[in-house]
Amino acid sequence: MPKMKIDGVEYEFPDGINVLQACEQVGIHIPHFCYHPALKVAGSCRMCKVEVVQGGRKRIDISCNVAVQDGLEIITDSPAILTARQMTLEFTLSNHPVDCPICDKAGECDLQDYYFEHALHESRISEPKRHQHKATDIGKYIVHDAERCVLCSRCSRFTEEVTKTNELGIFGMGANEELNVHPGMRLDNDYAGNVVDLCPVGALTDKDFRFKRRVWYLKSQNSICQLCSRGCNVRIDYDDNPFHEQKSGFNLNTHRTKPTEHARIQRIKPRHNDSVNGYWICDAGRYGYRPTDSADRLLTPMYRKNNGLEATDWNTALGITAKGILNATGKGVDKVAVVVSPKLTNEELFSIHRLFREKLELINIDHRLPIGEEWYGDDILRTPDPFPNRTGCEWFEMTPSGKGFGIDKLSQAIKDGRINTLLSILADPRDYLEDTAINKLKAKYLIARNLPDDLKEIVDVALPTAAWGEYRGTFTNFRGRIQRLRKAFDPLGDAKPVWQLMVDLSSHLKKPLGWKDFNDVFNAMTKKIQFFEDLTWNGIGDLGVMTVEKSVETVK
Amino acid sequence: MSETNTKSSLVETAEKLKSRYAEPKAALMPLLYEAQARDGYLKLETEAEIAELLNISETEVHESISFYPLLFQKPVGKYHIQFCHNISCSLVGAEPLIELLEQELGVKAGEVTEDGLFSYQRAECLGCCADAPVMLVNEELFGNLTAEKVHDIIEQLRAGKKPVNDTELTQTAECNDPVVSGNFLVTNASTIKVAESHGAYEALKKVVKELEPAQIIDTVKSAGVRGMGGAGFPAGMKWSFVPKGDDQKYLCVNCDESEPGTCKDREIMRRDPHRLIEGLTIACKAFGATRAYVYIRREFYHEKKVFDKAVEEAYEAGYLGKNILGSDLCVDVVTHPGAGAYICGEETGLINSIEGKKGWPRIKPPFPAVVGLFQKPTVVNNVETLSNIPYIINKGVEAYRSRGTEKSPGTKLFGVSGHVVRPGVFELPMGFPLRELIYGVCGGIRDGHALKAVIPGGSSVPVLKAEEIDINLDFESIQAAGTYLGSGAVIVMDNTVSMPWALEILERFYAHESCGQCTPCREGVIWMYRILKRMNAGRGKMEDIDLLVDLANNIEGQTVCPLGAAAAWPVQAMIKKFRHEFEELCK
Repeated sequence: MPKMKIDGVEYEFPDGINVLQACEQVGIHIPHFCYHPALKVAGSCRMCKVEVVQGGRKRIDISCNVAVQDGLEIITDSPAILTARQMTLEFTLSNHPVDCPICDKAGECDLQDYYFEHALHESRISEPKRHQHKATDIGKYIVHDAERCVLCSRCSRFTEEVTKTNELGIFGMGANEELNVHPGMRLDNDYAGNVVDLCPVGALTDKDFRFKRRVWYLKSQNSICQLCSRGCNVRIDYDDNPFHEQKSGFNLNTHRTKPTEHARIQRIKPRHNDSVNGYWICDAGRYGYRPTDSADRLLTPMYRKNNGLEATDWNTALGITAKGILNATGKGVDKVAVVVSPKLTNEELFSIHRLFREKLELINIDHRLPIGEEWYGDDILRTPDPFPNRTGCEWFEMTPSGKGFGIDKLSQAIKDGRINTLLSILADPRDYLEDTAINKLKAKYLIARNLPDDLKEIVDVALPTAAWGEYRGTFTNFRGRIQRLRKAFDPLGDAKPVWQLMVDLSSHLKKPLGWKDFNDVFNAMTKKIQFFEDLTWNGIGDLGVMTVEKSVETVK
Repeated sequence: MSETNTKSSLVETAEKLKSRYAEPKAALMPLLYEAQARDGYLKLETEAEIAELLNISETEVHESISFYPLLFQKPVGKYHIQFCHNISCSLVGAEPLIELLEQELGVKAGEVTEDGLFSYQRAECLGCCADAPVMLVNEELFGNLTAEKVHDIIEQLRAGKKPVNDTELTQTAECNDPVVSGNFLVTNASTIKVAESHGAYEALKKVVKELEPAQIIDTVKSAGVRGMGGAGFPAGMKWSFVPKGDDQKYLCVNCDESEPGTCKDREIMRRDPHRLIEGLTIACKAFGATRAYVYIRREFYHEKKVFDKAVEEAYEAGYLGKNILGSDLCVDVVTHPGAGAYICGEETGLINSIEGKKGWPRIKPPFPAVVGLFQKPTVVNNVETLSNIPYIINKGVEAYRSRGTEKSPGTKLFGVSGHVVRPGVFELPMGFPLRELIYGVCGGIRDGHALKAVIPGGSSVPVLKAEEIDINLDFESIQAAGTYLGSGAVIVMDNTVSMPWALEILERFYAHESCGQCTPCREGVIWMYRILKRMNAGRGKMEDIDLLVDLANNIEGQTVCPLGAAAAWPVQAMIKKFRHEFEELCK
């Protein structure tokens, strides 16, 4: 543990970190562009200079490339350093277009912030600025502006070191240099969106976010990605004020259609968590937020009437569902199948467990939905399992008990007349049942967030549930890490979290669960599962907790 | 080791080249030249082919191709002309000759004539400053150019004839008991027989028989040989930094001589290559390297051919290769071509360039002596430095130290260019008076003119005014006068020279050669150049002068490598010493 002084105060630091990190740890931010903790040190932006006193000698050095060591003395705010910083900014800006008013990065741009904090000089340049490629489409999601680029090489190091796809390089020499994709390539790897986060300026912008919102209108909430079993830590950036929408008619984001009047989620950003996803997320997770605000959201309970689905109230819809379930059960008969998606939170799974397994003692419960062919894992973040909470399903025994039928035997059981009622929770029955089996079912109840038109034709009751971002809860990832999804905004329409639905349904089934709010469910859950013992909502924190190391199985 | 055989496929060549390097990707540069020779330029599909052969990404290949000026991304003429427009050539009229060339050819820089016969590019210093003005036509150098000569050369090439090349040999001075230039005027000294008859490899024989590595290092340390590339770092000390042990170590020989005004290493390479081979072999024994990479700037086509031939001879004679002279000493030499980037003369830029990357200097630490070429301990030495070694071994420390000063012992090659009567490359004792070099050795200033200023150590070092030249040419004396000995390149300017004009040429060079890696150099040097260009075009403002100084002050010492400082010093010194000329321009 080296002891060293920073601005006159002595601290102790862990071995192996650099001076920039050390300063950060004691609350002194050293401005930098090229340094990134997950990439190799480049040392090229020259912003992070500090004075280093070593063996009685003072020198100016870049703090990203000086390791902490005993007896070092670091000065971060001497006149020489302030001048060096200001001059580096002046050089950086000398050919920068300063087009902040039309730059998506404005408001969260390092260059803009550093200029404000450290420079505020008047421009001394009278030469015309260098002109380079602007607004070039370089990939499915990425637009590149070479004039704004400060050549920090974070993005190209990312494609070299992390994805190893090498689409980006710095071409040319000296003042004519330009960061770009290789002339024969596009930046279309599965992690391309991360370069936008890495870019300290507005050189790489996200087509999905361009001109959508000024960043200062965004509100943020922490969550967990629900698109695979890793559970990458993310931040939902949202804005539910339609007044902030861009009004010029230039908005290219066409996903915003009725009945949701405006999209609330504006973008998804990774949250740093070394135990889960480091600094990155995949593009599937980054751009997979659309269903929350999409036009096919199910907003009210619906039931089948006169050959079509009609909107109704909760009481009617839950009444029909409860009646159907009761009709198919009792007196030693259990003709109900409950299929749950591993997209459900632990709290939701627990409520299902409590109601159907413990109170109604149903046996045909399963979560093992088939994995579509379009999903694949890789050796960066994506796991082979596209469900975020399979572990939770296992812990809450979402598998058939006794002589119950699992998903793989369900079609046959229906055709044999041994199952006639289906409650499918966040799962499209067509994904796991043969058409003949679906047709043969007497009653088909669906709890869903989205209800595409073609699905309307086959269900008898559809109960709207809260979508990602609209409710809170926990997932347990493939390694057994419990992580929190926090609520960013209210559910649309009548939608409710599944645990709330279970509470309501339990009254109709005359088996009341008796929970008033989320806390009741959470507390009851922690008592049920040994892995959740002593767990508190606050205790899970922003980075999650590991209560037991799960041996990782590969899902084929 | 022929470099271009257009008939053989790249696959075969790649295999052969890869064996010369610890990492296959280091074969990139020679392989690119092979492809360029085959197709005339480097096509995009060739990048993919080469990337696959070397198992690297196409992006990496494209980065190099777009970085190095001598790798062509579009076709060039049958005769590709590189015309130097740097300071030494400009002082003696390069610019009017370039205009003439453009008229003769009817094309601008970077263009190809309609008949596909000619293309030309403006070149930064070609390292033949004593023969200025100079141009390269493909691989052949033409020097001491005049309007008539340029015209004749083009005419003859057009007519399909081989142009007469009457480039005079660079003048060299006789020096009593020379350390490195003894064979310069010996006919055919580049061949091993002649070289041997003039004492070549005697030192190596002695070293192999009598000296332990530690003794060699001690000898070189006692002799006090300084690095002759510019920095003057003691060579023996540099060797002693290399960790002991059996780990692979490398010697890199820096023959990327490109600091404007510098033209001394070229003379060793073409006139006495065996002295360098002997010196580098001894150095390898001293710190335990078994392989030396000699990085030769691309523009030294002739010098590389001569050197390659000499290496072949040395292998045959048993002075290189396995078990040299029957001992357990094994040294292999691989020559590696540069591609027109000045920055590769910086030792870590050079290492990266050998490794098949852009010549971006590395941040330090780690230092090359610990983590260098292919991540192994590496020493980078200048050609002249290593060529000092045989003399020291043969004649001893005392003989070496009998000349020069206590801290700068021995002799040094000085390349004098510009407005002297007799430009040339001269070996002189360290501490030789600058005035005597200009007025004695070089015959004074050209007729009818008076001395105005001298840049005493290569284009980057601070300029001296005419009244400041009573100093001695050794590292310490010259530093006491506020400038540096550098590479020993003395650029002499008479009273016809406008200092803002000269400074614009220098800054044009540094702006062109900035590798683009770090911000202050990439953005700051071009900024200074553009201000100077505007100033010389009559659009300067008085406040530009202080702005220039302020920019220079804030580039110096703030960059990854010393190129930033090299670009800053001329600005600081020129404005300090000739401020009135800048003010005159801005009135």
